[in-house]
Amino acid sequence: MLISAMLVFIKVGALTVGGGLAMIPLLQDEIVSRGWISLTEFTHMISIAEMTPGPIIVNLATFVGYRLGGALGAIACTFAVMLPSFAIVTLLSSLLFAHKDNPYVSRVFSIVRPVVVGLIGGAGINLGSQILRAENGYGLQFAGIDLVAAFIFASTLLLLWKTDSHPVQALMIGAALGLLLFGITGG
Amino acid sequence: MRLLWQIYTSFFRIGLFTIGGGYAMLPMFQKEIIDKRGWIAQDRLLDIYAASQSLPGAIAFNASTFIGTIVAGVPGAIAASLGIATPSITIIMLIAEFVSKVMDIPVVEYALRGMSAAVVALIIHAAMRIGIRSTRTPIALALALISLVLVAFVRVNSVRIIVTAILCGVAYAWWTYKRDKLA
Repeated sequence: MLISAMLVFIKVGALTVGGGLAMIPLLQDEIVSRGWISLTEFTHMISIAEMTPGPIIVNLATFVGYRLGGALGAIACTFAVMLPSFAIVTLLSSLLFAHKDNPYVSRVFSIVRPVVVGLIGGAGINLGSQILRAENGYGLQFAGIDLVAAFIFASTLLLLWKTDSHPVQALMIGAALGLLLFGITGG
Repeated sequence: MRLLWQIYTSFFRIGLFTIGGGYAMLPMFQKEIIDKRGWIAQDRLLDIYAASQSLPGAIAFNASTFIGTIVAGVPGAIAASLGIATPSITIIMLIAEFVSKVMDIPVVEYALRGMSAAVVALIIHAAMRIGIRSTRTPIALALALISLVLVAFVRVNSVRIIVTAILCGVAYAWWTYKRDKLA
């Protein structure tokens, strides 16, 4: 399992273009759908990876690796996720500067970038449809939607959109609202 | 050896003191690499950041490997990568152990559920923000919408989508290259 996890992280490391969050759809497909980690736990991992110091990708790889295979798993998966970028950057560092403004290179990205945006949006929808879904018989709900979770989602989205606040701030507000509102409504 | 140790400790500090990854790290790079050590020039840092964004992997991690390579070759790149990953690995392992023990306490569970709803907002917000910048043409917007529908509703594996996108991008660039050569 550890070997297949490392292969997954090498793949994810090589295909994540555009930073930390672009990794989420890939990881969701590769790790959650294999049943290695539940979606709830995966979502908690994203929160924690955002709130702790260091690159989100490294944090997520360490977290998933630790859950799959302890300290050894954490180190193995982190190493695996870093390997592709390490290889590319050290091999190509001089070449890259020469071709940074090459029109053909930027044409490749003119296709890849919007697709990645769609992937991130799609991952948000996938995750949202699970997180905002009400569990039968618990808390405030309407039409199968967990109203408290939906309210927290909408208010943090509005906050991020209007003020461009730091992700950590949004997560702290989410935690505070969760404590307050789930506490009042009894989860 | 001394230089490698300096690289390791500089990147260790960058990894330890930046939360949120990516752009949040830029000011720390500035302080540690340029102001304190003078290893690279200001303009170079921005070039490195731009290049790091378009490469696979974490932006901050690519930038570290870049700077490590420039300062001390491959050993420098290794020192920088290890430096930036060490705080993450240590902190996350401690938290991972702790979280599974406290996750079922109602108060913790409520806070985590609130954070989960906020994570969904974070992801959607990221897509919207990057989307505004990178889908200015109708074709780009269509590509973004197609990949969104494929991943969210048709449930196509995102690895397949991104590999297809890279191949299409290369084919498109190759086609324009041929066309320009003929012209």
